[in-house]
Amino acid sequence: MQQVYLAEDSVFNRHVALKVPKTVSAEKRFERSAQVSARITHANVAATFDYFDLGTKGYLIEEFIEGGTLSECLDKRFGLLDPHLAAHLIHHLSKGVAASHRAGVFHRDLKPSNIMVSGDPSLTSVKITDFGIAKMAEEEIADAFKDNDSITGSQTVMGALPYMAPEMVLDPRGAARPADIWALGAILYQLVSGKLPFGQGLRAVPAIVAAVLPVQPALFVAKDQFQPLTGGLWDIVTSCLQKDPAQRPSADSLVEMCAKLCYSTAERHLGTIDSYSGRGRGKWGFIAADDGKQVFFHRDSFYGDTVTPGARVSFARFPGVPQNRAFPVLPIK
Amino acid sequence: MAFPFTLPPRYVYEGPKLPGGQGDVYVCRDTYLNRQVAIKVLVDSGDTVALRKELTAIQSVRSRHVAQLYDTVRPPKGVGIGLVQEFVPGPTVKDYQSGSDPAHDFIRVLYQIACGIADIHKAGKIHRDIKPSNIRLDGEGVVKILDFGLTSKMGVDAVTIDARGTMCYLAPELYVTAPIKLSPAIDIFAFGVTARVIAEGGAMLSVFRQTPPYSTAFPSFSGCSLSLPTEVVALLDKTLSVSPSDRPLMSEIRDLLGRRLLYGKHRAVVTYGQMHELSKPGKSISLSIPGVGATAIKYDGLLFKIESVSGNVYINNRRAVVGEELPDSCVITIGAPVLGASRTFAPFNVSHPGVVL
Repeated sequence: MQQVYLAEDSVFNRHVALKVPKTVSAEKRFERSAQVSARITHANVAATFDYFDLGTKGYLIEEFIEGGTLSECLDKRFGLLDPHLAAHLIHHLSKGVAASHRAGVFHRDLKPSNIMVSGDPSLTSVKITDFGIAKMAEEEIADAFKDNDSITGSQTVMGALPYMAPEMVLDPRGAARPADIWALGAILYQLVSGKLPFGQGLRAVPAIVAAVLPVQPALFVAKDQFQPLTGGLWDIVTSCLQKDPAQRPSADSLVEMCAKLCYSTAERHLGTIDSYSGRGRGKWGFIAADDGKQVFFHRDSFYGDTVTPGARVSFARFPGVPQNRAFPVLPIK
Repeated sequence: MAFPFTLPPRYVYEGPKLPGGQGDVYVCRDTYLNRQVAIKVLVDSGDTVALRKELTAIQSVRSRHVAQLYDTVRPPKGVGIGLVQEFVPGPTVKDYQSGSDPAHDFIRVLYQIACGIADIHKAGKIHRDIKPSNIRLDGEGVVKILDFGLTSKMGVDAVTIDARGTMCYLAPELYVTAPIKLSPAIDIFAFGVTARVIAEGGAMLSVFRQTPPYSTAFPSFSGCSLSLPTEVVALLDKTLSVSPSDRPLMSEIRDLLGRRLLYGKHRAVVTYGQMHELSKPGKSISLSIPGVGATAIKYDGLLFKIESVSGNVYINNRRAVVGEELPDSCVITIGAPVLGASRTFAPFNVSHPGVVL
């Protein structure tokens, strides 16, 4: 639908994201979509700086976020997030969606590739992007649905499908605010499990339409130290993935649910599992942090299945003797 | 009143004109993005190199609590520049809506102002005109600091010949003959006066209208009708210190107010036999292995502290001491190290709601 370039703004000496429409049909809607996204000013929505036409082409200038998309972040860096990091993410995402819903804008195409996260291990900055192009996405999806053969051919549709609400799958033009809430539920499920809630491709369609709730990730129930946060997160997943759009929480209620979650916002660090007791069957080990310090950890604080020496981890650390102690410990790629 | 120069066709002056610190601010429409913007006109700047540096510096402040800079416009002839900024339509911070807990809401507003000023200081800048009319609430109730054109860089060139800013909000060290040495502490003083005015209204300003040496001491925040926690009163009182070096840093103010926002909202989970929760201020939890060791941990609303210890008790392998603060994540061990794996280990983890504005 659009191409995105990293550009240099020579007046303000800053990096910006420059977006141009890819297709003729996208061009027609581009100015309007820029205006739509410009209506939202919130720290969790990428800011629209500028829009201009040169000849027949429109150019949109957006805030550039040093880091990458959440989709890249999951593919290349994390795989999945521990409940604390996932709570941080869903809290910020809900805030951004609530601000845009109040501005009268809904996204229609929320998915990890439309979410930008900063490159630090704490994922401090979270911003939703492409609010404006949502209407264009809707058109493309509706066109693709008219003709079954073009569904699998449309990158937009295939990318959006795993996060698409049942009402949207049944009628691509029938989506409203609750479809954004559904998408947040699907994204949260993916964050904590590393899996798509209804699977990939066209096989996902029957499960989405039936709104068969995915099973709770095994790690959620396995480790006491992540409760009761995991319970709160699971409540959010299940309330967002209600088949009936009217049963899903509003974005404001979702923000309230997130505000009640207790999670740790301690700064994250990166390191490598250095040693582990009992030849891999023990209960504790040490992490060699990238800053050279050794950090103790217990298996119960590890949000993953098996601990392997040499594996990369993200963790927060707290004072201890003789080494600091890590919690939580998240295996990463 | 019209816009002072011919605007590029993209922008249309709609009004009103708002008085600003260094230049007037005109509310205009950006016809490309169909949104309102605030264009601040600076007339005293003909030096393009210096101006470009200034613009780079202004935009280098990355803060969710400082209004965004979008664009610049220049008159077809002559000097001057218009800074096209985010228009914040909401009321000024004096008129924020308070809910069922006025002291908490007041601290929440101050916390956001402190975040914004701390971000400005972190970028090496001084705002120089902090006052309630320069701080507004956006549609989401988020605090935004405006009027950033007056800023100065810290360091060598932070010397000015005149004390710009607004009477009543001017720090005492600004009432001297030129050249005046500028420091971030002037923003701290202005923040203190701003806090006072937000808490008690403009009538409060009369006491700040005097010039140094002051005949009347500034009244303590303990006299506010909001019943503020003692450490917040002490912090805010320090912002009005006559000596700049006695004022706290903005980052300290931000951190203390941020912690205070979470008063009574922490939750500690201890796995000791089963899961126990400690989340009510003033409450304690006891862990005891008869004949080996015992301890009690108390939550004071902000921190979890060791209330009592007997026998062998260790926190993250360090001997527990009464009064000591527990790290947000630790293991409480009961039993001497020689007991090895037969000691009792109780993981203790603190979490809290996220402060997301």
